[in-house]
Amino acid sequence: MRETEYAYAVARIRANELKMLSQQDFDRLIAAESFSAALRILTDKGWSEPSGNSAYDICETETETVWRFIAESVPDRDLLDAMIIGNDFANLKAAIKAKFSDLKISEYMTVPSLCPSETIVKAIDEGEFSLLPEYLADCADKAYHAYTEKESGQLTEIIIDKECAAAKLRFAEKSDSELLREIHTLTAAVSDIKTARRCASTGKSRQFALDAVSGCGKIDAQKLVNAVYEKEELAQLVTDAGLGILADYADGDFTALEMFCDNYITRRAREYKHEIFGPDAAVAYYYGKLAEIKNVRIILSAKASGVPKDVIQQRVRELYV
Amino acid sequence: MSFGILFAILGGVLAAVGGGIGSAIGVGRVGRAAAGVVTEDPSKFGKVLILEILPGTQGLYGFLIAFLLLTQIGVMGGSPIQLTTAQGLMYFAACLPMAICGFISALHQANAAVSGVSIVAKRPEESGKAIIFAAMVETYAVLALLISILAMFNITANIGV
Repeated sequence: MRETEYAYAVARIRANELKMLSQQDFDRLIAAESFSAALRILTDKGWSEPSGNSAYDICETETETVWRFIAESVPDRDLLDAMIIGNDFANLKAAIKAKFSDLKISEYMTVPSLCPSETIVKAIDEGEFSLLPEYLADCADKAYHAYTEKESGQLTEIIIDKECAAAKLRFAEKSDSELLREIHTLTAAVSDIKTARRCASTGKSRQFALDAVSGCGKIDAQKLVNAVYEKEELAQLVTDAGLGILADYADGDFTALEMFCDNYITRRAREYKHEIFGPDAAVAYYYGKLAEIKNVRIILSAKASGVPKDVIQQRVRELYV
Repeated sequence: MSFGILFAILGGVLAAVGGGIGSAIGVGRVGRAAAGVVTEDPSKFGKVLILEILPGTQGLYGFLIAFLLLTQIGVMGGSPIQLTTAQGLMYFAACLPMAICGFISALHQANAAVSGVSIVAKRPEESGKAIIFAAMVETYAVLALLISILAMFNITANIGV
């Protein structure tokens, strides 16, 4: 699709960026006396009133709102699909877990998604995986049988996460967005590092780790697993794989790694703030908005559980605006 | 009828078509962006409309060149003058600055205007600057127009029609 086809979407995005929460708004949120005071700040800024008294509601509604906006503005279906494909796999995971537990499935479904969550739930409930789209059916079959036959929740998660990383990159390749490909590659690499290190720290076999790592994020799966199990430093490995930005974090704690990954994506998204055409401006805004929603969720959850302001300050991510 | 008049008319057609296509694409491109801003804030219609109009001028310039040419060679009056092939090619060449520069400048002006639309979206008080940025591109379309007109009139004066 020609980049100029995005002129309408990008112009709407630029107009909407004015409505995003600024640093001052976040400072006020962090300084808010209570959960309800923070909610009032958000509703004053145009966020919806929560139906229940939870951070989840208001953030979920805002995610749906931003997605509706993106979906009605962006002209390329492939790009839209590539942005949210990961949510289908998250919903598949929730549906399998819910079937064998007391979980209330509706609370764990992520929106937006390509495949309706009801279809995923129905397919899992009935064991009828042909109801699912092609990219999900085979993975659902394998994950379901891992859960029922091997009774391994961890294996189920690994199967889904691995296929999710591959599908996200496959869909991103079909879109014209270089930024989206970069984001999916980076998140796959970070996910692989975490998986390999988690396998090693929980005493899983090397082969199990190798099966669990997707290898989609530029880092060679075999080399990564070997490095982790032989307790070598990962900095050189990630640098050699062209992901030198992760060098300072690959061996550190997961929270810092995740935070760096989130902040890096936001920083990259900011670089597209002055684009006038093309899919990357839409991807940048979407991820910028997701970062904003994530920050709101962090702050509201912290307010609800009485976390001190300085701790909240350390947890919040960089802003897109 | 000689090939001279054919080349001359072809030049006029190119000027009209080059400028026209460039303007049509340009105005359409800015129009999309303008519609995006107006969807979010209808009060900005007036400001984005000015930006949308800007890439449309090349089409008018092309039309002007084609009209002047048809007048110069008598086609408009119903009695076309006899032109040699060389004279026809001179008229053809005279139209080229407008044809080429009109087409290219309209597209680039559209891009500048779309950027201007983004300025209006975020800082409507700076819309004057946005218009100036896009209008700067107009300079080169105007220069091409002048060259085409000067060349055409001088060719007419020199061949003595």
